[in-house]
Amino acid sequence: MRTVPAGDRALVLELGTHVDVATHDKVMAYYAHLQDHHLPGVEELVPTYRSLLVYYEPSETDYHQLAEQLRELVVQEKKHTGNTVEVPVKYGGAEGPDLEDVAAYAQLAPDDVIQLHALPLYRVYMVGFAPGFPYLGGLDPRLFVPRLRRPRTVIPAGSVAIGGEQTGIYPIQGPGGWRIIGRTELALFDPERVPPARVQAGDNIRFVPLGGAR
Amino acid sequence: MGWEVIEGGLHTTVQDLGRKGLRRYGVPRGGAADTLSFQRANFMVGNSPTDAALECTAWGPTLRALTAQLVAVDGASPSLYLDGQDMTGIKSFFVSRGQVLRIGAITGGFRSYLAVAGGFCVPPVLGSRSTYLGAGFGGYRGRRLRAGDCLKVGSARRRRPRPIPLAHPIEGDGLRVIRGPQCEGLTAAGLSSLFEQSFTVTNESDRMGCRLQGQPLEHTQGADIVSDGVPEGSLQVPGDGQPIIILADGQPTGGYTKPVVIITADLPRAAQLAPGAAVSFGEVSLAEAHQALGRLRHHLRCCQDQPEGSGRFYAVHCQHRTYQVYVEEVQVPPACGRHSPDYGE
Repeated sequence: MRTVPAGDRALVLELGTHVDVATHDKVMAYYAHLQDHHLPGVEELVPTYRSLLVYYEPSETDYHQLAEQLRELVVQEKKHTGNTVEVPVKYGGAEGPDLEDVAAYAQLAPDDVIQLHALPLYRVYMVGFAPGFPYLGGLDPRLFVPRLRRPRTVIPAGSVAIGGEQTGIYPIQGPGGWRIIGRTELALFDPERVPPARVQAGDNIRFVPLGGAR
Repeated sequence: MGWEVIEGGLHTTVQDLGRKGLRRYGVPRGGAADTLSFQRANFMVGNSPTDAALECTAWGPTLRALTAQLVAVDGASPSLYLDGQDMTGIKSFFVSRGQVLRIGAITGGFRSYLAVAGGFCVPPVLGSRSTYLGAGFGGYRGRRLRAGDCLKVGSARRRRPRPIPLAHPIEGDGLRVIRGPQCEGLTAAGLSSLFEQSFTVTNESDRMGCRLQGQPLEHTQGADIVSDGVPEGSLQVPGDGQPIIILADGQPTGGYTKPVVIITADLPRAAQLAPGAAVSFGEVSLAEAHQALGRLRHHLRCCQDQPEGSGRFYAVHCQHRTYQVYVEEVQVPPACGRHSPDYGE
């Protein structure tokens, strides 16, 4: 474990170096602990793959004091179990314009791509990049495909996509360079709701193919 | 109560101080990019620091007052015309019903803030009135202002501007930074190059990030890191070695090397970097950063604590022209140093 300054109002609590479930379990354990046991001056927490970004108010604490308090914490580490959210997906066709390309790249039939993509229980390692955007872990290596050489300027909300070794869902319309294989009607982000994101770090996602999509 | 938008300007949005505690859901702070100028403008018209104002970028809007209002402008200086009369350089003035306020080219920076007594009224979304263009919510219908929009204004009893210190508490030339979280992500040569050169701000700069151009910074092992949290003010260095300053609407997480983060006290200046501007960076300690933040907050408290002006506005007709004159007696509070109202003409 180590702490590093991230500017004058935040510090990074690094709990590992790699992307794996054990490291993320640790991140979630510290995240849960700090939500239940508030440290003076801590304002906001952002859990990520292998670290926790801790925002603080410098008039109430300082970096060295907070870093020491974090190092001395006794945190019960356990396997994290989050909610599981089922995401219905219409794969291929107009909703998934890159499905055929992904299949060709992976040297699989499009139906096999769908099956392999819908099989795992994906962990949400973090939410960020865009509102409600889940970074998912657990993609089958046979589906690793490079990002588009030219990112699209507009991707519809709900697009399910693969980029490199990751898969995810674009919650809002915007630009993006991942290959789109399907779309869900499930709203992943709603600013009128509290919390606004449908899935959170530590949750799990299972993609459920909708019949008759192809 | 309110304003009709005759022209939206280049990039005008309703902003306040932004959102708190939502980064874990992918929602950035948002709010005014330059929170210092934003708050100063609010204080001049007697608002609270959380009231909403307009953030005008590069070229401001043209607005017709539907009711009489006290207004204030702070930040980079725009050309200002009230019913065609040049008001450029005047910080706070009174606009009568039906008058047209034209905010033109913004110089000496990138962003000007127009505050009105009572604040702009838009429905809060996720605890803030700020416009978040990235997801199209907040502010005025989640977008920039355009012709035909109608802006409501809250009720305000204030009819006199509050004088505030003229000068911004600007310290030094470059932007001060704290090392980390990934300064080892640049080679020793890359890191010294970051501190030794002067960068130029490119045209591709918005509320998310200010893109810089200079001698490319050399990475130790490529630009990509395991994605982690990205604080406002981070200097993000992607594969081409050209840094991006993360501003108010910047993504809360990201996967590029962040060798340094700009100190909070210098974020208002970072937000004022216009395309073509030169910028350099200097390293300071955390203690120096916190002291600078303390001085900035003291300045803001001084602005907020100024008593309401005791003077009055007069319309003076002289040689076929009408001038707005504000007259008041001024006392200089010793704690806050020099202050002189600049209500001109």
